[in-house]
Amino acid sequence: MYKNVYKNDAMKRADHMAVREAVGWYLFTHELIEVTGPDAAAFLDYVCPKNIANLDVTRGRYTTMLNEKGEIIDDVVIFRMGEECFWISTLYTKKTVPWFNQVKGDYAVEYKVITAAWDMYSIQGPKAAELMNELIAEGVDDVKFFQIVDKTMDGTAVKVNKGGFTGEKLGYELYVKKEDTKKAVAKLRELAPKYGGQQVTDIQIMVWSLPTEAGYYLMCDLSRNNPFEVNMTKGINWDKDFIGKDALLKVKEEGPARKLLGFTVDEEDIFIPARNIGGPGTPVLVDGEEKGRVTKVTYSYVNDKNIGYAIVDASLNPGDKVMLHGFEAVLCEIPFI
Amino acid sequence: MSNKIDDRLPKEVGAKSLPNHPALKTPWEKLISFHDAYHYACRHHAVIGALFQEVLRILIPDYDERCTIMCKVDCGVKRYIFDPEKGMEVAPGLHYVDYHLANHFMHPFFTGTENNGGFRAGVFGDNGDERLLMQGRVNDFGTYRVEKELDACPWDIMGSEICRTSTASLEEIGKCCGDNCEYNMVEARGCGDLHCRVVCENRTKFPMPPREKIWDNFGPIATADQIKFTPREEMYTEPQQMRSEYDFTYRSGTCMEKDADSYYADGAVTYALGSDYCINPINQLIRAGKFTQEQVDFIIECVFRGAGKAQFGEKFAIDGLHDWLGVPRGMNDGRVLGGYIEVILQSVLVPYTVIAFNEEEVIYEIDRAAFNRKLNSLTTAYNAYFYGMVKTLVSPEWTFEEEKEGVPENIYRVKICKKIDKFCL
Repeated sequence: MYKNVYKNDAMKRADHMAVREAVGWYLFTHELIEVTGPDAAAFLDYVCPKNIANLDVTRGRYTTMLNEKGEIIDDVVIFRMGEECFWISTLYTKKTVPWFNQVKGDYAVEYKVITAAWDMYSIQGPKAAELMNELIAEGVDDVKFFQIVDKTMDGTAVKVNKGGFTGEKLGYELYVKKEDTKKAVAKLRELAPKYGGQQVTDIQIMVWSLPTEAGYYLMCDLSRNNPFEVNMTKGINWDKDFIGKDALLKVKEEGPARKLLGFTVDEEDIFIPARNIGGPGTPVLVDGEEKGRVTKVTYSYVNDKNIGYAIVDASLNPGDKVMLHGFEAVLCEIPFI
Repeated sequence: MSNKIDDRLPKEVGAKSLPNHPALKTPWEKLISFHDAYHYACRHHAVIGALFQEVLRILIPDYDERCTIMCKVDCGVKRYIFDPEKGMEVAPGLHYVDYHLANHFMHPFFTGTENNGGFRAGVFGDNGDERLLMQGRVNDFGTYRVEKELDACPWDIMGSEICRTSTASLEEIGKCCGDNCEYNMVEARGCGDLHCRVVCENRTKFPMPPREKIWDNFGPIATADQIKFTPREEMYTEPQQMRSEYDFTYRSGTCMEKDADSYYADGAVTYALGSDYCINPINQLIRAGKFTQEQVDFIIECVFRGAGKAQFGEKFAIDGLHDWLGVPRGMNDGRVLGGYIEVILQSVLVPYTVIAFNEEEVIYEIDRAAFNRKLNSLTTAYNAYFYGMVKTLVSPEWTFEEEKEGVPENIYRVKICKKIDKFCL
């Protein structure tokens, strides 16, 4: 009963450990919104609590976007592609664009979804730089963290960002035009084995096990919570005006009612429904009383242990024991590695 | 003393979908809650679907042949809608499948480099399940395996054919989203199992012998050892949009959210689900020349007329309906059936006008297109169904008939009145 679908799956383990020990590559195309116009910088500064207008061209920043209640409605990476041109990497253009329409006001700004034009490949792991230096004609040693730079791959124009969603120090994102995507795949397939790497094909690894182990968030963790509850206040510019600021100041004054923590479960064959596969998430029980909900459950191949996140009552702390669908879990700090 | 509030709908739910009241209103001011109307509508569609299933069983007695045509016809419908290259377009150049994927927040990288995104149809299924009161849970969701467990299915009364057909249809949608995914319903409430359990497996990772028949989709599966079974005491009795756990909202793993109100207005109860799985194959049989329209209509009328009479064959069934509708004590005429018809129409959001409502006769003019829902046999069936009902619900002095003379084509005009007919059925 409840056989562990991660621990005993050799394919998943190989995918995951390729990234941790050598290099793993995978299609990781997100949705892209291009924001342009004389007020583009000011507009993004208004819809994001972090500074965007002060980004240098080519540089990027990870930020949340909030609604008027101070709740996180998306977490995105924004790149400055030109003085009046930004790219927003998101997974929720269907929500984000209507939201922009709602709050645009008099800002002289235009935005359009350009997802169809680009594919993105993530190349992650300790050998990622070596692979990229062979793949990219000019090399990638000059690319800074959260910087997107024009390069060439076998004569083809591409863009390279240093970053990723795995927690690896050496991780890159390769943006290629749709028409060049087969070429990129062929090159990555050819090069990865040279560095002991391989393709990662399972979304459970690229979206859940790798990022969770390293402490990254998904919208299933963040949605309907404010930045104080999920420990994402670092970098907020309290001196500027942004959507959700008033509500957030109130939370700052009163303190958050709940917080996002990690947890581990020693038992091997668990089944704990969580928001990452849909639904409200398993209740977090302390002495039979509900103290929160499980947002994500996955597996740490590095620690060989079941791990997850839960949004819990602020009174709970790392080290506390809780019950999740009949399984004992111990709350802990994030990340796990 | 306790401050505990058991799960219930907040009083505002449904206010937007059913103007003026978060409820339906019978002719006697009895309110039927939004919650009950939602459940009622799905159950009603399932009952009508079960009757059409009987019609199809009469037409095609052989199980293999019947399931085959049901699966093939519905897969054809799904292919017509979801084909990524030739399927329906919602705008020039925008195929329905891409629009649908985007609405479900299916991330672009889910396609994979090997076009292995067939698992995404599982998310469509999950959303549709909760919307149609087939509550349950996703037990696994990934590129190579999806497991969905349902605790309820209003359509389980139709029997096993629809379980096979709906699974084949889901797989067809999966094929429109990617390669190598096979869907099996390894448990089926329509077969008497406690749950429905649909497992999608990628056959590249989990090879299995190919199926011999399109409807042979109850397993076995390669990952039986990964199944997570929810015991009866943990099963849900309401879908997410009717539970307080996440603010009366359905949410998918990719953060698609829907509340009960938007579900109700978005086709959850308006489409005659279940009937379509049978009417479309019946139409195919007619087109192929195996039966005439007259032969089919005769069988439909026999089945539905009989079912209508049986519905109120017992006195307690009549008492139950009077109580449900709030019929004034002593009233026993066409208005009782009229009140029932109005509840059906309101539940499934079909516009209608009351032309007459008195102890001698009841007349409604109903929006024909909204009532028919592009399923041509529905009016034939309901004419016989209501005719049968009035015989036992009120008395054989009464009849129900469609009036066509002088009535515009877009109006479905029906009349309940007394009538002597020496050749009545």
